[in-house]
Amino acid sequence: MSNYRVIFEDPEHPEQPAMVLVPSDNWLEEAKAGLLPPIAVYWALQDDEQQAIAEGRHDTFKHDPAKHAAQFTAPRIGPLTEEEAIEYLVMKDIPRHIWSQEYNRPMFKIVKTEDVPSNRQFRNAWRIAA
Amino acid sequence: MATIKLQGSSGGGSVTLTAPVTAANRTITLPDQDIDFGNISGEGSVKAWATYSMSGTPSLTAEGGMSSITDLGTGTPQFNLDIALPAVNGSPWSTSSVYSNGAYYPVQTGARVTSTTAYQVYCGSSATTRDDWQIGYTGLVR
Repeated sequence: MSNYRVIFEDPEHPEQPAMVLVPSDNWLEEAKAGLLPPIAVYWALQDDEQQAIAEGRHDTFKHDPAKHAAQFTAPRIGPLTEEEAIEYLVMKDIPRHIWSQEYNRPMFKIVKTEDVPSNRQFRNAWRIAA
Repeated sequence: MATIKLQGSSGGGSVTLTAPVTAANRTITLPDQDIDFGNISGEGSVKAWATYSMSGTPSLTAEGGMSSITDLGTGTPQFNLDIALPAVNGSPWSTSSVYSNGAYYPVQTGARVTSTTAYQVYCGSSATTRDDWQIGYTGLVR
């Protein structure tokens, strides 16, 4: 099991509670074994999908077959440490506007697993401190 | 006469076909459709599945085809896919195993594909209320 979790908030939905991202152990093993494609492969897919959303055609959206196939055919990036894998996962599974822009307070934090409160009432009242 | 076409990959790795360990001859019969073994299989197959818990802190007990689970709020896990879907559709399913109080109830649930890289599940306690199941099962067929 991973030693890390990612707590994040969405500045576009400030009413939502802090969210918790938990990595898959299998995926983490893939990352440590060097089986992941460059993160740009996922970003290219996300860019196309975001454009479809902006143009109001998300319901009928289909990925470009060549870009989709790059998930399997792109050269692998090599083994990552667990910390590097978590950073990769942040950039893959958390919406880009949360981690790529600067806000007046942090919108995400990588924390130790044991630091995540198990009481949801407490967690729902969380705001990520600087 | 059929032909076999081998296409090189950018990584330069080789492909190995291993014969069976017995003396029997074996045949691989391919269907008349494209198949992507790297994406588990062709259309109409399970792309991801998980046994998970939303009780306390969220966790994936066992899974396949997922990169992570995101706790979006009470009774609302989001399952992030290892491999993006080719389109924004599919058939996600969800069922409760152990309800939040340790009992086995036939509670309501829902799920929807929200993007090519994720789908959300709604763990119900009634038609309008969500709850953190102790154990849930889910998957996505496409």
